[in-house]
Amino acid sequence: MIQINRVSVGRVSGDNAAVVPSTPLLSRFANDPEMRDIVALFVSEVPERLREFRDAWGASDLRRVRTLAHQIKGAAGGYGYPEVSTAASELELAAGAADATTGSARTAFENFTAVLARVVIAG
Amino acid sequence: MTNEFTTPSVPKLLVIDDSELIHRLLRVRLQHERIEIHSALSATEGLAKAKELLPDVILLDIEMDEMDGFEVLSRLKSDPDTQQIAVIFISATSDTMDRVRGLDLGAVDFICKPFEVVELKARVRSALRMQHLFRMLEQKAQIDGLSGLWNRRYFEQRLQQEVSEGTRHKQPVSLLMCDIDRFKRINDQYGHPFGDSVIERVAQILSSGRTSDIACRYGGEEFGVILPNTGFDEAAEVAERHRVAIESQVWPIDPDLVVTTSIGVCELSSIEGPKSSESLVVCADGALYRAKERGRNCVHRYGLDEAKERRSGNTSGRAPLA
Repeated sequence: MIQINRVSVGRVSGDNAAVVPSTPLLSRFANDPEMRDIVALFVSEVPERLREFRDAWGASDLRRVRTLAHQIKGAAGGYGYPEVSTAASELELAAGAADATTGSARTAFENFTAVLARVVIAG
Repeated sequence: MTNEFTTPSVPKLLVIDDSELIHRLLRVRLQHERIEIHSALSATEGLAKAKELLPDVILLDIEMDEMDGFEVLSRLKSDPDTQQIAVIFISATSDTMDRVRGLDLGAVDFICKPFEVVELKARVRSALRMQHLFRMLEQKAQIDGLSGLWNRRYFEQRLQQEVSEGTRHKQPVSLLMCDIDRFKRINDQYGHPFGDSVIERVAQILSSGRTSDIACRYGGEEFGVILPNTGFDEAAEVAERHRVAIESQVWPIDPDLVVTTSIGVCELSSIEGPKSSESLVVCADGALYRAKERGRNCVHRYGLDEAKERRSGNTSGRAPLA
């Protein structure tokens, strides 16, 4: 299992402004024959899913962001990406909070999209 | 026996979840289980499919847009058609109170998303097992122990159902009420164990007719046979065939013994006055009573035979058991 430093990805950190190169996220089920096809499908749909999230975020539709995050939270782990589920869970929570438009939701959103963008089938 | 005992068919599982990802995942993960998987992507679709397919188990998501899983469960439980379906909640919510609420509403289990595959399979299997035992128990409670026919409770329930179906689709529904003639004498003369075997044999004959006929033990030595989508003439023919078959039966205990039955026949639309399952029983029972009056071992049709009888003064069939 590769340990990933989630918070450092996709965030501009401090004065050196160096973005940590995105480490690919592998499915825990990469070697599970019965899962191969649907994991590939999941990965192939990532760009479209990211667009859905960005559209909802861009339209300040937090309810939609929350719903999308909730769905991904429930499913991603099953496809072998528990890190995506965790980030989605944080986003769901932040998007549902009363002060959702403030920094914490933005941080959660950026973190989540960065994690989702790292999803690959296998190394 | 023509009782509709559960043939070992493949159990049906309905997944109600608004995420396509979950449907795909479950189809793959449960592909080697002996179940038929159906999907619904919304609460409304799920309720419709539940009623149509009558699945054994439903995996139900809690958070859905138009209607949440709790509401779906309440609706399933308030519909007699769907209330027996085992519902497992499947949710990404880890809130304890949600789980408590779900179980209190009548869900049999709760699975958290993301789920472990082996656990998911085990929980589905467990729900199916429980469902199977429940159905068996339910059916056992509707079967008469001696005759193996449906019992009176089932008879009344089923007749009501067939009468409302027949009324809705404008199709005839007929009922035979059949009673073994002079049964007490049989018991007195040959003993109760033999009396029991007579009931068993008559039950076998009554249930060996057309597969759509529903033979029930109404009580004692009286039987009710529901004939869905069967007109009066056809019903009378069925009754006559049963009467002849029973009369022709040879009894090893005494080659000279002839056991006979009297049968009353009625068809729903021929009833004067309110047409209900209760009035159908009353009229068929009345016809049975007339058959007894006419000397037993005959078929009497409600409302029709009186006129004919007045003309000819005839009785049909052989002399009853003395």
